[in-house]
Amino acid sequence: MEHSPGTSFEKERGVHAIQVRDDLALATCTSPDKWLILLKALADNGIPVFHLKLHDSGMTFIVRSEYVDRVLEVSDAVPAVTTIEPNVAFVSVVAGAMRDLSGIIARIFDALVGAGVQILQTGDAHDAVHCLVREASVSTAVSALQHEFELVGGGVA
Amino acid sequence: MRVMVQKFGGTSVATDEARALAADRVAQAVEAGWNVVVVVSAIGRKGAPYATDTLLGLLNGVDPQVSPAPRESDLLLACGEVISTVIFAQTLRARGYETIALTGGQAGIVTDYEFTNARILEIQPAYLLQQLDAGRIVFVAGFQGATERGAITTLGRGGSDTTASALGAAVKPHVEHVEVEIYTDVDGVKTADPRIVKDARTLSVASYAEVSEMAHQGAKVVHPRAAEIAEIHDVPLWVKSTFEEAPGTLIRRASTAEDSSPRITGVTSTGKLVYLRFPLPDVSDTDRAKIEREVYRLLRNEEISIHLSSTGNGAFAFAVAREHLGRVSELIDGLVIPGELGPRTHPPYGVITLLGIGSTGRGMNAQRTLLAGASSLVDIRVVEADMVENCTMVSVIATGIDDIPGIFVTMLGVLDEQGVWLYQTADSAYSLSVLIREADSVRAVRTLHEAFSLGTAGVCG
Repeated sequence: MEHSPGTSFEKERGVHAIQVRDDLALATCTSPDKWLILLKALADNGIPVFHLKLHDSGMTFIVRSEYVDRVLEVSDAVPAVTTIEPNVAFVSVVAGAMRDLSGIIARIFDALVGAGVQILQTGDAHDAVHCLVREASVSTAVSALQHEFELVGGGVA
Repeated sequence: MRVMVQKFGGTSVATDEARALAADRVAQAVEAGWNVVVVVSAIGRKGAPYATDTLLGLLNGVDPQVSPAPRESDLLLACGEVISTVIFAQTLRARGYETIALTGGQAGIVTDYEFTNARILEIQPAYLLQQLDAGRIVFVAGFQGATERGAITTLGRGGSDTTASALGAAVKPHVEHVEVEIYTDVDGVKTADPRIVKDARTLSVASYAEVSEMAHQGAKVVHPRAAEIAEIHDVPLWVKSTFEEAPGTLIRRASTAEDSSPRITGVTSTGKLVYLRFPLPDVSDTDRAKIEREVYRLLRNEEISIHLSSTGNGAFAFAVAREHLGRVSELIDGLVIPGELGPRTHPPYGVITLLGIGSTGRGMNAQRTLLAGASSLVDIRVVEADMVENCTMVSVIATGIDDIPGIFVTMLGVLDEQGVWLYQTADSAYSLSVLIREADSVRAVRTLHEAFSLGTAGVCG
């Protein structure tokens, strides 16, 4: 059967892009009995938080850098103990059919640990794995992931 | 030419009565002036003589120790759809309509060579369009295609939805208008599983992204692959009931103000999961990352997928499907990982991390005994993972999450008030998810559905 190249009908499978979202801060609340109160207070003050993770010692979440001062003000008012690590970024590996692909996280760790990049936090969705790294490490992280997933020369969004 | 692609699932063609109702839907479309393409799944579900699982069981039953070749599996599995397609075509032929039944390959669906989970490379619709133009109803066997060399392939899970969506996309450039209808046993996309939430509403309109996210998070209406294809090619997709007269749900690109405004769309639950948390309170970030890497490498070798991964704050954690627990335990319980083995002049010469699952892991205790003799030379760091066996993930699906104030805290707050213990959370552009005990799943879904007023006027559309 002969056929001419036609429209691509489906998303490509596998990793097809590395995305970077910077200008973020990692907030760590170490008041385990106050995390929900703090979240409510942040919502009441119109401060969007995302990538919330629960830990034995409290919780971590991400805010955009512009909200750091207000997060600390709200936390003080609760009161809760919250520390901020500024200047962090998400480096995300984006793939089609992620839940059908095993081993993406292992390859990410291979690449980033091998490149000496410290992974501060991880998260995953059906189409991406997100790694929080310091902004100073972003270019190293992107290069390592591009190399690992053979996206050198492109694939960064 | 105006083309309607209608897809009927296995339950819609399982009995004479169901087939008659499905045939009514086809006839109605023809009488309304549509040129109709019908995509059919295999008849019935597991146990039915020609259902996909039945055919697979037949093949695997030859010798359970020898896996069938994927190519031959596909050749057999494709038969289920071929049988139902021909029978359904005959049903309409018996009503006096001109019909033709085609395999996926005959309909022009060209796939790659990944047998059992093939990807559509392109569709050559010329023959199908020619048959439509001749006034025939074209029946196409779902779930299948063919390689360039004509080997029959199957499209994997949700394959018939994918076929319908892809055929709609293929004919779109050649016709005046095309729509795709997915017929099932519910009357559209619901705000929750109606078996769990009695007042679950049917959405009149949803975006491709919303439906795709709902499907990924456990809703069983349209396969996400079909929604993704429809979105790429901007093909309107309807979800309707074979058995009820109801308008159904229109899935389309979020282009209107109503479609794209922030809203909460539904609540889903999915997965039988096991949550494993490895406390590493006194471990450097570098060592923690190395330990994680070793664990993930082992899971990769076994093709075990990881969900809800989390790291930092003196621990790392993830969930795996419960069916993998036995193998995960074998791999991790007793795993020894060397660390910090740099040159030193006196003991301890390094640190060895010994992983276990719980304090009673046999592998860990056996290794601990073996390593006891080395404890004067190296530090033995024992890490006992906490394990929660019966977990599931409950998700709230929403558009414009960043613009819905307090959605996350509302979700967590009402679950907390209900005494639902939260093990972990996750968020994406279209969903917020919590990992909870499976025993709390029904209560959590009902609580969230009510909290976000999804059963009343809380949902647009």
